[in-house]
Amino acid sequence: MALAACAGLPRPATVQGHWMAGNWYTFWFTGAAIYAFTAALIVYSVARWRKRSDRPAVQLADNFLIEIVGVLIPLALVLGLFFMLTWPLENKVDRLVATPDVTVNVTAFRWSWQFAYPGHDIRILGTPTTEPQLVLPAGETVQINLSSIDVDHAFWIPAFLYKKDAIPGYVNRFDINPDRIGQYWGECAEFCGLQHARMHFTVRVLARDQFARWLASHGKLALR
Amino acid sequence: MSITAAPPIRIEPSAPRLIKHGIVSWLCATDHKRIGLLYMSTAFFFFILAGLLSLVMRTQLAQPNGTFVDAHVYNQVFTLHGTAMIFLFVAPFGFGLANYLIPLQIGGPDMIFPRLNAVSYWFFLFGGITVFSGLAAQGGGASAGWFAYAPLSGIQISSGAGQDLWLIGLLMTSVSSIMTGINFITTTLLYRAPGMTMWRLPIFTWEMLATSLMILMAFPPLATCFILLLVDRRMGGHIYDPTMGGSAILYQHLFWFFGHPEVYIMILPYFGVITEVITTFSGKPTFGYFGLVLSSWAIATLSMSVWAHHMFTTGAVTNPFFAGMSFLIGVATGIKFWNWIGTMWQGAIRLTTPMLFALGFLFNFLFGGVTGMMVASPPIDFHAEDSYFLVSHFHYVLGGGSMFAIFAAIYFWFPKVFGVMLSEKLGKISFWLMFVGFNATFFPMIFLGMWGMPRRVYTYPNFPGWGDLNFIASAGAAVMSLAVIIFLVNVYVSSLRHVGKMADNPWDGYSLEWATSSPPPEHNFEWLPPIRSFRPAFDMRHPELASQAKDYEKRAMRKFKEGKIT
Ligand SMILES: [Cu+2]
Repeated sequence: MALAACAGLPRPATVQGHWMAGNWYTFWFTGAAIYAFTAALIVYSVARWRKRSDRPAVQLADNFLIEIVGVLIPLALVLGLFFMLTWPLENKVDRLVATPDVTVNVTAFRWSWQFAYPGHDIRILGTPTTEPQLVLPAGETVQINLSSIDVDHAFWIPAFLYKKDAIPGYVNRFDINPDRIGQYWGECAEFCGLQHARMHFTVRVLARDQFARWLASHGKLALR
Repeated sequence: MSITAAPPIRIEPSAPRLIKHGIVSWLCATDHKRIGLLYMSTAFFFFILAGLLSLVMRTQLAQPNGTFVDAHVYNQVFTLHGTAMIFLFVAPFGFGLANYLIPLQIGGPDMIFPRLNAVSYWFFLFGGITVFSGLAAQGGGASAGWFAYAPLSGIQISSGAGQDLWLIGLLMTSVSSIMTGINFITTTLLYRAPGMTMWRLPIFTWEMLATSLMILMAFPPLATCFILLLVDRRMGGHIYDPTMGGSAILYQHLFWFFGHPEVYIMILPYFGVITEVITTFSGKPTFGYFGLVLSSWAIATLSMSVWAHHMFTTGAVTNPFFAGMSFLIGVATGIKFWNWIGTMWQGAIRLTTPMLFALGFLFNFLFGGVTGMMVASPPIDFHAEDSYFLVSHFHYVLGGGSMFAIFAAIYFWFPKVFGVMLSEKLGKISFWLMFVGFNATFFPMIFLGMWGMPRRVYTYPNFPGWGDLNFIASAGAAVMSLAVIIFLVNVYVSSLRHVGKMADNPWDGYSLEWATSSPPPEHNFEWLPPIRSFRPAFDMRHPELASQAKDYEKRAMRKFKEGKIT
């Protein structure tokens, strides 16, 4: 368990999470390569050119070609990452469908959450000591309408690799497609005062038919 | 050799100070060297306080469900830690260093507005005291974080006077910074010695020029942001109050419009320090002088258009634009690494304590830069934002970067300022402890953030691995404290030693401050060496190598005029 966690990110539980995890590791390994290359150059220059005798240093102060290479290679790299990965993925993650399968209104307050399912008469209210549970279907598009009634909060489910700010006077809307049945952990990520650390919730992703039964029972169906 | 044949420029001695010694001489000091020292020692004092606060946090977080302090205390502690490190240590220490060095590096007798300079310092000191005085207020000190987002920092929620004192204190330091910025720019442009052309300025002075311009752009929005918050808090305003038609997002825009340039205000001076240290201990001219200068101007320019990368998860900004701009800053920083390595290449590298700290800076800052590129990408930031991944990232930049550069600067310029060398032996021990301690503290946080640990929590549940990594981080903090204690012992022990007269240029430095005595006389120079390249002190010591540098400068200037250097 601990060893699996050491690999890095939590195992993604949404379609968007899989995309973002792939992107994360692309950056992660590119970054590791850049670090290794630059660190090797630094170590080499210190080891190779360390002063051991009266050998004078070469008084070279510029080289136009080297300078241009030092600009163009990083420039090509970041432009590539930006136009091929960051921008298209951002658009994919932010895309909203016109008719989501389920809509959940999430309201943050100091210091817990309310999850409401419009049209189904379901309202789940938590406190700092009793975590509320957000119930979602696997394989469907869920639209979240996120807001706050007091200060800035942020809605973060690490297994979804995604968070969004809950800001008073403002509704943030985003889509998620959970694709793995299970129970996950959620929390507030934006500092919101005294019990910010206790603003936890859990997420339960159910199979589609079980979720339908849960909705039909107005949230009364017992979940093991 | 024409370079040594020119007669040195004589400086006319001016009227001596009336009061030369004792506390009064420091209270009325307008000399840039004294103000620089006041700035640096005050900033270092705040560093010690902020460091002690971080030990409180690391003790609390050393294990899950910690009970060392409660949430109320913890929130005040992390608020004050961030505030002090950012507003009272890293940035002001750079201002102090620049106060001391800019007139010396450009061959001027003082800052151009000495009294304004004194006013800046006293505003800074009393601003800092005002911030800390909030702890004595009813309900405790400010506890809304160093960013104090409204409406959390509004009167309904943060009703104590601690928050007001915090705002007023930081307003004072903002005014102080603006005055300092004006002083630096004017001094650098108008107070240069004959021969010290702009393209012969040491890199540190160039970096401070870019920093000062950013100060003038960034601090007025911060002052606006805080004054509006005070209006909301104490005059019944609703500017940031969404329930009355105000906007919580507006606060974030104003704050980060300051906040992002501020990040570069806290690192550009130290890019300058690192360049000076690496150049000196490689025994070579700075490689890619123009690249280093122009990349700083690129950073200063771009820094004005990246603020909303702190707001990727708000859903209120155009993420791709701010991501793209942030990526470009990565390129500008990459050029600097390229040139630092170029400066070491084929040099004659001496691994002194300042050089070790500079190398520590390179490794740490590189790591912070790589993770910075990650969080500049919104799909990554959606997970990393406000997690321990981000805590690790910016500590690698500000702690592993700026703080290591500050120690490099102290070890490097200590003999110039006090006429005494710090012990190299204790310095090296302190460096290794700090390097190991720093990485032990902040490397595990990368994984804590990836696993889902949020920032600014006073406690966390006992999830697998969380307790272990947090314990390693806390142990690292203890090792870093030991390194700071050894540094303080070093300063104390070294100051007791009487080694006779200090050489003018003990490190074989290249810029003009190494041409005067250690410590420098009241008006800085009895005489100036001829300034025929960007390293006058080096030319004076190594006339046999000077012609090469001179050729370099002519060649570079020609290329620059022909537009061949970008
Ligand atoms: Cu919250």
